[in-house]
Amino acid sequence: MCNVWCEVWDSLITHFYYISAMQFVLKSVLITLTLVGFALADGIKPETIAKDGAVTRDRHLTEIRDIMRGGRGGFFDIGFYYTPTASQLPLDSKYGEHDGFAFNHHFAAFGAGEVGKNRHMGALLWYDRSGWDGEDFLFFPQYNNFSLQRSVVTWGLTFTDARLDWTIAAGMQHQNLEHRGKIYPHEEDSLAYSWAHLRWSKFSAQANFYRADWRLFRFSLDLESRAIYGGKKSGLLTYLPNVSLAMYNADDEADIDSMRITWEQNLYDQRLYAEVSYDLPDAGFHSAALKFYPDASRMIGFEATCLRRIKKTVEEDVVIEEDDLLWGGAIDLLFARIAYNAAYDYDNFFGAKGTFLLEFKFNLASIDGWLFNRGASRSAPMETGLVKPFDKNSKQSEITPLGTSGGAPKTIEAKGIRYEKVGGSTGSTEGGN
Amino acid sequence: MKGAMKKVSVLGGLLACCLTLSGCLTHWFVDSSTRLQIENKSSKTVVEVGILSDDGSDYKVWIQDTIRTGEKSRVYEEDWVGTFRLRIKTLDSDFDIENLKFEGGSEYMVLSDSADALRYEFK
Repeated sequence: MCNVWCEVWDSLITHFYYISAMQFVLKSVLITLTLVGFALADGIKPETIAKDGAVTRDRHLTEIRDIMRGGRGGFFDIGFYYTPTASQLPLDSKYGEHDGFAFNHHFAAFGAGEVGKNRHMGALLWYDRSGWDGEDFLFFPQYNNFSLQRSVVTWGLTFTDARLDWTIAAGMQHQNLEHRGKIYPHEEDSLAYSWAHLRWSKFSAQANFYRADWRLFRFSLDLESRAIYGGKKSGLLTYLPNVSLAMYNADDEADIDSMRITWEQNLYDQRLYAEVSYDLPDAGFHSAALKFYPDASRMIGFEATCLRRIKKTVEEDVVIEEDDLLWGGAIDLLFARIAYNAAYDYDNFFGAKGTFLLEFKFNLASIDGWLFNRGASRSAPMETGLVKPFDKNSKQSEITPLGTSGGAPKTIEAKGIRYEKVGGSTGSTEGGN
Repeated sequence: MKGAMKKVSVLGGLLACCLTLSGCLTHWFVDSSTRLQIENKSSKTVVEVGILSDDGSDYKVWIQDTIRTGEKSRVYEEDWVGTFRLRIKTLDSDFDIENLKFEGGSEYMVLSDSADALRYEFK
C-alpha cells in the first residue's frame, strides 16, 4: 500500500517539476522576447485612452466618407491589433508602469442594393471595441482596476442616385463604456450621437451631433479622378488633390475647439501619394505621409510617416510646449499590417510608439463587381473571363444527317448504337456476320 | 488566380486563428494579478504596505495588516503587475522601494534589518 502511495507521490512530484520547468521555459522565452524586441516600448497614457471615444467616432465617419464616394456596392472590414507580450504596450499611470495589453478590435460592413434604376439604398455598420486590459483576450477581458473597455457603434442608412451622382446617409453613433478602471475620468454611456453625410459629385459634407450640440463638421473635396467611380484612369485629372477640413467641438459650447486640414495628393500614377495634415489655426503641422501602393487598388501598401508630437507641461503656472518629430512607417499586406511609430497608429491606437505593431486585418470594397481597398482609385486587376462566341463556321460541330451524300465518313453516336456510313452505299456492312 | 486567392485567404484565416488563440492563452501561464505576502524579520513593526504614485501625491493601500517582528501577513491579491514604488509604513517611519517589478503571481517578501533601513528579498 505504501509503495502505491509512494509511486503516486513520486509521479506527482515529477509532474510538478515538469510543470514548473515548462513555466520557466515559457517565461524565459517571453522575457527574452521582451528584452530583445520591446525594451524601448513606451507606455500608454490613460488620458489617450480616455479620449479615444471621440477619436474612434471621428475615424468611423472618415471611413464612411471614403466608402460613400461611390455610395453603392459593398464594403467589409475586420481586424485587430496583436501585441504578444504584456510589456509591449504597458499602461503608464501615475502609479507606475502596468503590464498589459492595449487592444482594438474593429469590424465594418456596408451593403447597398438597387431599388430603382440607378437608385441604390443601403445600410452600414461600423463597430470598434478598444481600450487597455491586464490580459490579452478576444471576448472576455480581465476588467481590472486599471483597464478600460469601450465600444463605439456607428450605423446608418444610405441612399444614392448614381445618375445624378449624389448620396445621402444618416444614422446614429453609440458609445458604450463596458468597464472603467479607477484611474480614468468619469464617462457616461451615450446613445445620443447622430450623424449625417451628404455628397454631391466630388463634394461632401459631414456633421456629427451630441443631442443638440455639434461635435464635428467635415467638408471634403475629392477632386482626384478615380476610375472606380467612373473617372479617368490616367491623365492630369487624376493629379487633382483631395482636401478635407474638419472642425471639432469637444464640449457643449458652440465654438470651434480645433480644426484639421488634410491634403492628399497623387504624385505618380495613383500609386504614390503624399498626405499632409495641418492643425489650424495655431498648432501647425500635424503629420505627413508618403504612401506607395504597388497596385492602385491599395490592397498592398508601404508608407513612411512623420508626426509632430506636442507635449504640454505646466511649470509654475506657465504652460510650456515642447514638440518633437516621430518618424515611422508601415507595411500593409492585405491580411496583416506591420507598423513602427506610424502616424496612423499614434493617432488611432492610443499614441502607441516605440514598438513594432502587428495588426491582422482585411478590408475589401466592391462596386459593380470590381474589388478594391478603401480609398483606392482603381480596381484590383482581376481574371478576365472572356466568353467565346459560338463559331458558326466551324465544321467540326456540324452534324450531317444520314442519307446526305458527300463528305468524309461521319460517325454519330446516340444511345450506344453506332451507325457508320461510308461513301454513297446504302447497304449496311454491319450486323451481317 | 481565384484558387490562389482562396488558398491565401484560408491560410490567412488559419494563421489568424492560431495567433488569436495563443494571444488569448498567455494569461494561462502568465499571471495578471499579484498575490503578495510579507514576512517581517526586521525589528520594526510594519503597519501598512501600499503603492505610492510617482509624484508622491497618491497612495493605494495593499496590505493593511499589522505585522510584528517574526510575523507574516495574510495573502492579498491586487492588480499591481508592472513596475511601481512600494511604500512600507512602520511605527517609526516610512520606507520606499523604488522601481519594484511585480511580474504577477505569488510573491513572498521577507523584510529584515539593515544598517539604517529595511532590507527586502523575494523568496
